Amino acid sequence: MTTATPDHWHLTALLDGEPGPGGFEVAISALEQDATLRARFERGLLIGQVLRGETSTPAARTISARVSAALATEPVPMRPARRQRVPASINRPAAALAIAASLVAVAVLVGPGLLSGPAMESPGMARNIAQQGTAEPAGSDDAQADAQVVERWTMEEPAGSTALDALLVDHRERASASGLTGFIPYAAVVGQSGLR
Amino acid sequence: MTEREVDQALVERAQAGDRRAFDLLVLKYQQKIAALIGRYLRDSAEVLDVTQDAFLKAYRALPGFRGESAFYTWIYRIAINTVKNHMVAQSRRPPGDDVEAELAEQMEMGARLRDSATPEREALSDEIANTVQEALDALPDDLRAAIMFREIDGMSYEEIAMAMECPIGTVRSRIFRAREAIDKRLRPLLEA
Repeated sequence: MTTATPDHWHLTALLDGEPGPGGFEVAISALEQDATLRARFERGLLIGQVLRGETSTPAARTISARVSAALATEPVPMRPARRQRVPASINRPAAALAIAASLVAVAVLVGPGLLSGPAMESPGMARNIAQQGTAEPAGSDDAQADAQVVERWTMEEPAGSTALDALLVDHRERASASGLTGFIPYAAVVGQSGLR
Repeated sequence: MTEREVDQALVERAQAGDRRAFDLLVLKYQQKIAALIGRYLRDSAEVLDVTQDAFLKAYRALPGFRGESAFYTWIYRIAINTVKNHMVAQSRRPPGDDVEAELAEQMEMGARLRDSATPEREALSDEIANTVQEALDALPDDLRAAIMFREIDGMSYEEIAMAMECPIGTVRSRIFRAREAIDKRLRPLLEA
């Protein structure tokens, strides 16, 4: 009886469809490199066929060599690589964030110079508006400003007038606190504004 | 790893450009495909040519094989189409339809398609069958039972271990030794 090698054991397991963990790779590599082992593998297949009473065609043993020779001159028909799709759940927020970051960067670099308007209004104007809307007392340091006459338009609807007042107060607070001019102080992160 | 999974792994290797993996698939199925084509054609040289052609077509179509069916089912269909096209090209009428051929394959009842063996082919086939049978008969009972459970009944190592009330390692060893013993008798005949 032939001395059994580890390759022989892997081969018989492969014939039985039970190569075990790692056994497949070992058996295939051995078969690809060892013609004697290939012949043994082929006889093992034939033994199984004969035992099952299946028709055997002895001359068919030459087919693998014939096919191999015929394919030697053919290009390898590679399977086209699949396009890897990024899940929409990952892709969309990432793209939105990238766009938002780009816009903010452009706005920080270019925006203040181009978009800032003339320094609006005196502090007193806003304060007067606030006084009208919220009835907050004015500070003593602003006495001069308080003395200025502030002209403003009138609105028919009290609710609309109140809302407008609130917006103007908000505007003054933001503009004065950040020291920035233009639209930058009002920039809000996309997605958060809806939560307000 | 089942037999189908083994085939699929070989197919994926071949699809990735490993031609030797495809060679192994040919080695594995050349007998079955040749036997199938031999049911349509009488001339043994023609059987070999068409079998070779079927495998070449399979190789070229391999990038499109997605593993939705077993490799054998796929190559079987290619072989049937190849032999039918061959017969039409030779102005011969292909016998029956695919269902008929599949029944013949599965149930060993395709008498009309099967009488194509030449005396020489039959003689060698018979000699191989007799050699294997004699080697099987000469095996100790435990080895014979193990190889028959595996090859004839298609039982897994685990099932055989339960049936024979022994460890799986023992089953593996018995099947291995049985194959070695049969191979020892068969090899001189095939190499002659």
